[in-house]
Amino acid sequence: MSNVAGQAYSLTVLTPVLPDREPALRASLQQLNEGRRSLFEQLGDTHLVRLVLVDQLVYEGPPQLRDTLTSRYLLFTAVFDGALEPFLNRLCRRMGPVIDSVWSHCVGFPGTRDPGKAITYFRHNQIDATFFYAAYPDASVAQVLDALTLRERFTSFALQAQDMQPTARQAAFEATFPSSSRPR
Amino acid sequence: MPRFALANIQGNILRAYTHPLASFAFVHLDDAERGRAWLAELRTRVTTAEPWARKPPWTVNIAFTHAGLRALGCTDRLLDSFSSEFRAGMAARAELLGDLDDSAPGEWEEGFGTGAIHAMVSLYGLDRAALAAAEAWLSGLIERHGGLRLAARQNAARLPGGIEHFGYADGMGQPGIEARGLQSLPGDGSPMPGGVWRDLQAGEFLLGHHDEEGVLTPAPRPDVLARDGTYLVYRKLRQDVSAFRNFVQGQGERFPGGPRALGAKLVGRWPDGTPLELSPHRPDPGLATDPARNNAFRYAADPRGFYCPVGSHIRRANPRDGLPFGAQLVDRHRLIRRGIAYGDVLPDGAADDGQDRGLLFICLQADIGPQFEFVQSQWLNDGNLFHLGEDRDPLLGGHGKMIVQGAPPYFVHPLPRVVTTRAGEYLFIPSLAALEFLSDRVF
Repeated sequence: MSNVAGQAYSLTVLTPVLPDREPALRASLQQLNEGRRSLFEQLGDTHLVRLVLVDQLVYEGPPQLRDTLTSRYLLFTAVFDGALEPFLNRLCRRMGPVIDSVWSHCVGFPGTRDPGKAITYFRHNQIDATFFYAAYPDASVAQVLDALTLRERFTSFALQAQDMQPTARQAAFEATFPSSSRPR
Repeated sequence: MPRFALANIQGNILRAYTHPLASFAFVHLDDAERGRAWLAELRTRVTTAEPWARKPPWTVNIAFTHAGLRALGCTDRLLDSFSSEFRAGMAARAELLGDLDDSAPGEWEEGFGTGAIHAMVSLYGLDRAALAAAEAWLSGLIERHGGLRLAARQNAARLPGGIEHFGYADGMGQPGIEARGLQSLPGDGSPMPGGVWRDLQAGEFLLGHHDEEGVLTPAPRPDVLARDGTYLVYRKLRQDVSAFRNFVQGQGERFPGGPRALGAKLVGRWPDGTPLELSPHRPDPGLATDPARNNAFRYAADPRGFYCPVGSHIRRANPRDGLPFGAQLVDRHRLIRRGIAYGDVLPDGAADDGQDRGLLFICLQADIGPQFEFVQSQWLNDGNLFHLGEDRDPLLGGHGKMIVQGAPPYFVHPLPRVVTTRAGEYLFIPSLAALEFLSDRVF
């Protein structure tokens, strides 16, 4: 199934924007951007979320033709661990107000008051990937974060240990990364 | 046989001037009509790309900021057709470019990054007398026309030996450009199989021509304004020479090979310009001074960076065939560099004298975002594309570490801040026809 790579799932949803609602949608998207942490972190198990306002998609290549879409679109992509249904459940139940603030500007959005209807809306507008190149097909979000932390600790150790004699370095390594705590 | 209308292209773009002295006049226009009248006269003296029978004693060229084009009276419609980076201006891009803390636009020299700088008139001179004559001519022109003033002036002079202030030969590795009518040097173009170097498409550096993708780079309208023009990135980079020397000396004592070898690993070349990739253990003066050889090298045979470290300055600034897919990920991000040193040399062994010296970094490209900004933010200020995490360029980065690959590797840490941005602007270099268009109020 082309949306899946290892334990990662790639969701792509394309929803047309209601006429003249583009400025309001832009404002809603801007609000999501405030703050250093992503609002989507609360979903857990999510590697990446991207929201793109597809404006006119003007074709500019040779020959010099101008070709546009009939409406603007909101592109929503998310990469997360696990299956689609649990993710959509979390999305529509935990982030109702945020989802409403964004998708209320899109055609046919039923709102998250009935999460089931919202889930159906997203499934209806889902596009399957033809090829999903996953950054982490075999590492969950938690594993990636742990690995980053470990790399930081290891880099710090490597810099400190650079000038040590080999036996001292070995001892320092054992002290900093005791065998019992090393990842398998 | 060049296919460019050389008379329409400003000089110092396709082919570098070699005049040793320069003076950059940053002008502010108070009155659009008088500004255009000034430009109408100035443009008759602009040096073009036409070949010289005899080198002129002094040259004149001009570029405009977005604010400058507005000050000349350009309509919003015309102004909006320029690239978004140019419209925003370099100061607005500070976070992307890494211009933070002491390098932040708020710390820059008066006028820069505020919209007050409208035009940059570049004067190059063969000697002091010639440069003085050029400056006198420009002052006279400004005074006679009125309605504009000199907001800032910056002098520059190439250092003896073609080096920059940290002591390294500079200026090698310019992009080879097709149909220029110039034989490109080996190493300047895109690395092809069989040791061949392919010239790059002119549209990477000149608007109105086809780029490496085979299409016309997005350009301002109308065509007369865009064609044969290009964007200029100007950055005054102050170099803390004594801090750099102390750092290399200090760390170099612990580095296998000593301070000079350490310095070479940071840069990617020995001070005389010998590329590490061709001579990793010692400089080679014969090679360094031979333009047919001193840039003719590739990285694919050194993927681990044991000869030239993956994160060294020149390998970051132009990875050649060091990234996947041959040179395809590199060809769209080349820069024409026309920088020149400023400030007096700090003699070897001398203590810090507090004087302002460094590099006026100048690069030219058809599209600031994918070229200058990409190189700065993806190749210099970050290490991800080279699998170096968040490690930054050892000369420009100012903090963190650099890995000198080897068995065992050596960590250069912590990297000192030795370069500070003191001023900067994004400018547009119009063609001669565009200068006529701008001065004659055809819009």
